[in-house]
Amino acid sequence: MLGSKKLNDQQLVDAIKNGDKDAMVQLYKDNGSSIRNYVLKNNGNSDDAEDVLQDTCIALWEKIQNNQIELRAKLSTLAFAIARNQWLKRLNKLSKSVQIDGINTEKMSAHTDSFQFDDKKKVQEVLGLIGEKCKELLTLFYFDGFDMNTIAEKMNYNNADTVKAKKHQCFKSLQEQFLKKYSRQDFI
Amino acid sequence: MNLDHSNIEEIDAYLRGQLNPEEVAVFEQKLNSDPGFAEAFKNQKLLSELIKENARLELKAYLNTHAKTKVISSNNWLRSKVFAIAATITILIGSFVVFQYYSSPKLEQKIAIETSNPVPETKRKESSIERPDVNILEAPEVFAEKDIEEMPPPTMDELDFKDIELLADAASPLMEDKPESMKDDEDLNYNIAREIKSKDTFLYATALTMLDAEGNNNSYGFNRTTGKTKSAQYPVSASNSNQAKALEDTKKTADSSSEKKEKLSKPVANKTKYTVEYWTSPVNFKGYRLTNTTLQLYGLNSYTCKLFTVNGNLYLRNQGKVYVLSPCVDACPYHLEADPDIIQFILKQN
Repeated sequence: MLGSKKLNDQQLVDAIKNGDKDAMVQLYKDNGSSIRNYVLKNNGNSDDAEDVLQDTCIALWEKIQNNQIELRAKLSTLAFAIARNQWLKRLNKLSKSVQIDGINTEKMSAHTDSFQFDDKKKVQEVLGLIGEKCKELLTLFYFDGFDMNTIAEKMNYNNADTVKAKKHQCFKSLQEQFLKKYSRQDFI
Repeated sequence: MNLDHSNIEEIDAYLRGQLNPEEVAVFEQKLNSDPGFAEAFKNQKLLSELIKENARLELKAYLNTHAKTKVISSNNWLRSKVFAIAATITILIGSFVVFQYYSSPKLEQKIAIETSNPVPETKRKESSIERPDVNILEAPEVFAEKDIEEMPPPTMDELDFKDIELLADAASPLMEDKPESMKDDEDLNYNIAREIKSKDTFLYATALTMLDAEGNNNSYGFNRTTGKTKSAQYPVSASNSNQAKALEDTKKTADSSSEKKEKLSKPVANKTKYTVEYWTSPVNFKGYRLTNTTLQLYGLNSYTCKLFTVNGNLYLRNQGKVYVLSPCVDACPYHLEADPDIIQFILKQN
């Protein structure tokens, strides 16, 4: 990435769709200063700023992968909007009641997911129950939202049916082992 | 836990938003009516979220290793590249200037030595009064005949034309007022004061000083400053003659070339001759170089410097300040002497 040509928005989106992590690094670098400044100006410290920046990049990645983004606006505008949301959510979580851009964060309804993954170790533990191949396949399916054909291409499987069977196998294995060790309550 | 193949697929399709509105309605109906299915759905949803969260963590780790560490250098990599180029150019120019600055005195030193072409002893005695400037470095008590023979006269190709002109000029200001006794006693005549320009640095005066370990100081230089030479009084601490001798010895070993000469000759006068060169520099460098018996002084804009040896150390007095000079091949800054006794002693000398 370093020294290579800087990608424009469309190229970035294409690269991310292709699973190019270096494109995400470019997102990180392109939007780093504006997002950091925003968080720092709004009661955040440098650690908060770093977290928000990283979360924003990942959220953008997810949105691009799952085709939730249409490039009507500039990617940087989008990134900033996501960052702002992320930071408001975080402030809400920390129940810091502050005025940001005229919005009282306390009034924001706790529109959060029902799952809480504060324990990063536990998350990694769960995914450690299955092999690397299975983890990769399930990630491509659930996180990146790829279809079976794309996954077959990426992981060198013969065809979509093989992937389908493999994915079913992997998921079942994960589920069985998960239910042996944990309960859903551990993550709520 | 009734999760067959189709259930997993169906739930995935729902979670991925791939069902049409009718299918969604059926699906949600099933969720509400079938607790087992609802349970399976909740588990699958949690697991898919766990997979996503894990993927996020992995991406974060990637950012931490690939982006965070490079933020400083690569965020502004173009700017830093420009900076690097600018810095390189600056360093190159700077080192060129420094190189010029330090290399040029060597060139001038050569000229000074070649100016001091000794005249054979017999000839010299006749000519020393008329042409004292020629016998610049000659001190027959110290030099054996052999040494003089060994010293080659400057060859034409060693000096370029410009140098010769300058040397011819250099011969003009003589020390006619020098007391004759001095010549007899010290056998020393020396005077060159010429502005010899070389590259960036600037030699504007040369003087020869004879010092012995007992602190006697004979300094000859530019007409303006050549006064009567006075013998410095030995400080109390080193008045012991044994000690003085020991100091002489150390001095001899410190200067291998003079040591050799003194071995060959009778050490009538245990004196070390110092060629003192006054230099200026456009970068206003202040400091000195002391190699063997050549002392180059930079940035002292007067001919009022005087050298003294006290306890075997070499001191420089200039405008009421006393600096200690230790051998220094590269340029050293002037260090003020700390010992108040020595300062007082030297300042008292003429």
